[in-house]
Amino acid sequence: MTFTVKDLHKSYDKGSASISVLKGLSFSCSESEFVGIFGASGTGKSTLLHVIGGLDRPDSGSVLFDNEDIYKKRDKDLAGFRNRTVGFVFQFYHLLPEFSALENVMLPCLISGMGKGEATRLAKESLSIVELDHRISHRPSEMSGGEQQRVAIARAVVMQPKFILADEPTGNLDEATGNKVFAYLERLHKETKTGVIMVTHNPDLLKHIPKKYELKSGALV
Amino acid sequence: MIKLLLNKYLFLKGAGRALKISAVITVVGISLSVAALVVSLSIAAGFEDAYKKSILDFNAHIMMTKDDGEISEYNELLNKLSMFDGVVGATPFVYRESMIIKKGVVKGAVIKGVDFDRLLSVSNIKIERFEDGESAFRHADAIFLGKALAERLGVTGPTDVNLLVGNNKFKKIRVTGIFESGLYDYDSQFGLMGLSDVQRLYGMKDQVSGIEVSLSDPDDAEEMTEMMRVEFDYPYQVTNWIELNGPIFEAVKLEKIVFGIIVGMMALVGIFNIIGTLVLRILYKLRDISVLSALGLEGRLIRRLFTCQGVSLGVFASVIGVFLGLTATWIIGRFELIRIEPEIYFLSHLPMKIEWSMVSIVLLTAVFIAWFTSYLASGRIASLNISENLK
Repeated sequence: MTFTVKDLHKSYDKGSASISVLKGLSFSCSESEFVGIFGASGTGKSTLLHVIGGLDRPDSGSVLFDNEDIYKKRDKDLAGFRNRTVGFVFQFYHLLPEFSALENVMLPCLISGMGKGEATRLAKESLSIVELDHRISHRPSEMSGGEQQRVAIARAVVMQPKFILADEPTGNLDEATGNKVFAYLERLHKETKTGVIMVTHNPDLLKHIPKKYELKSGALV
Repeated sequence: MIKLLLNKYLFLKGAGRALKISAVITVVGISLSVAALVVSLSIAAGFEDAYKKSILDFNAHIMMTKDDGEISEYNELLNKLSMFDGVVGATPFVYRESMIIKKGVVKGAVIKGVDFDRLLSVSNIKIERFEDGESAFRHADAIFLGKALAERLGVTGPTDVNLLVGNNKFKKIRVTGIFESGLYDYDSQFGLMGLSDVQRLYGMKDQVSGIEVSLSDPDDAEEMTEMMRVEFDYPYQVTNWIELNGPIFEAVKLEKIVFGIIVGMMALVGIFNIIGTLVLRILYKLRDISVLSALGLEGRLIRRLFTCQGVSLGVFASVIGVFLGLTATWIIGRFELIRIEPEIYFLSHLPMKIEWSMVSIVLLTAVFIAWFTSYLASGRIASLNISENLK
C-alpha cells in the first residue's frame, strides 16, 4: 500500500495576500517505510501531513492511496479513511480533556461503529503497548506531556492503520522523553510494519530515520 | 458515539465561566418567556371559559322570539321544540324593561320572568336567599336582584322595593335574595321573578316574550339553530348563545392571538439565544471538533452532536418554562390572586384555565424552534478550518 502525492499545490490567504506553501510537490511512500520530513518553520510541513491525511483539501494535485484519489471520495468515505487507514499524532497531543486515557484511545473504535466491549479491549491493548496500563482512568490533565503523547500514539494505532502521520511528536517534550516517544514509533513501525511519515525539527532523531526529505520552497528535496 | 460525547459535553464540566453563564442566561430566558406564554394563553382561555360559563348559566343555549311581539301559542311551540334530538328542556320567559326605586334611589332594570325550578336545576348561578327554604322563591311578587344592582340600590337583606309596572304605576315587591351570574353586565341590570308574577304585574295575558331551549351539548347550538330556523319560519326568530355574544368571544379570540404573537415573539427571542450559546460552545470546542474529525467522525455527526446540545438546552428550558407557567396559572386561578375591575371586564378576578392542547402546542413549537436554531447554529461547523486548529 502506497501513498503517491502528485503535483500538489496549496496556498493560504493571509489578509489580502495569498501565501503559497506547496508548489507542485510530488513524492511517494510505501507501507513499510519510515519517512522523515524536515524544513524551516512555516514551509508547510504540517500542511503537507494534513493534506496527505485527508484533513486539508489541496488547491490542485492529487493524493493517491492505493491508486485511489482520497479527495475524490465522498465525505463519509474520507472520514472512514481518516478513521481506519491513517493515525495522527500531533505535537500538542490533542487529547480530549473530558475523557480518560482509555476513553481517548477508544474514540476511533467507537467512531468506526465498534461495540464498547471490543473498543475497550483494543484500547487497553494499545495502552499496554505504550506501557500506560496503570494510567487508563486518568484524564490528560493528570498526566505528564510524555504520557499524554504516548496516549496519543496508542490512539493513533488502535485501529491498526496503514500509516501513522506524526506532526512533530517530540516537539513539545524534553529530549529524554522525546527519544522515548520516538522509540515507541520506531518499535511500532518495525513490529507491525506500519508506515510512518514524521515531521520533525530534531536533527538527532532524523539520524535514525532511513528516508528523509527536506521541504523547501514548496517542494521536497 | 454521539451519546457518549453528549454526556461529556452537555454539562460543560471544566468549561469557562462565560460559557456557563451564557447557558444559564439562555435557559432562564427561554423558561421565563415560555412560562409567560403559558400564563397569558391561560388568561385568555380563562376569560373565554368564564364568559362561556356565565353566559350559559344565565341564558339558554338557544332562544326563540317572535318578531311581531309576544308569543301566545307557546305551549304548542314548547312541544315542537322538545321533539328535537339534543334538546333537554324548553321553558318560556318574559322580559320587561323597568325601573326600581328604593329610598329615593332609582335604577333602570330588566325584569326577567323565569321558571325558578328550571333555573335552579340547570344553572350554576350563585343565589343568596334572604329567607330560608323555598319561601324565597314561592313568595308572591318576590324578586332576586343581580348583586351589582342590589348594591347600587343599597339592598343587603330582605326588603321591599317599588317596581314600575305601567305608566307611572308602581307596585311594591319583596326582594327575597340576590344572584351572581359572574358577568357584571347581567348582575348590574337584571332582576329575576317568577314567570306568572311578571305576566300578572305587567298585565300580560297568557303570553311570553320567548322560549329558552337547553341542549345536551351547548357547542351544538349553531347546528341546532339552523335546523330550528328551517322548522320555524318568520315571524319566529331563532338565535343562540354564540350569535348573541359574538363580540365577547371575538374579543377573547383576538386577545388570544395578540397574546400569542406578543409573548410568542418574546419566547422566540429567548429561544434564539440558543444560537449564541451554541456558537460559543463551538468556538470553545474548536480543537475537539478538529480532533474528532481527524479521528474519522463525519462532519454531519459533529453537527448533530452540537444540534443535540442546543435541542437539549431548549427542551430543558421549555419544560421548566411550562412547569413554571402551569404553577403560576394554578396559583393565580386557585387563590384568585388578581382582582380586576368588574365594570370593565364583567368579572371580579382574573380567570385562569389550563388548556392542555395549548400547552402541548407551546411545548412542541418551542422544541421545534430550538431544533431549528440549533441546526442553523451548528451549520457553522461546516465552515471551520479543521487543519488550522490542529497545528
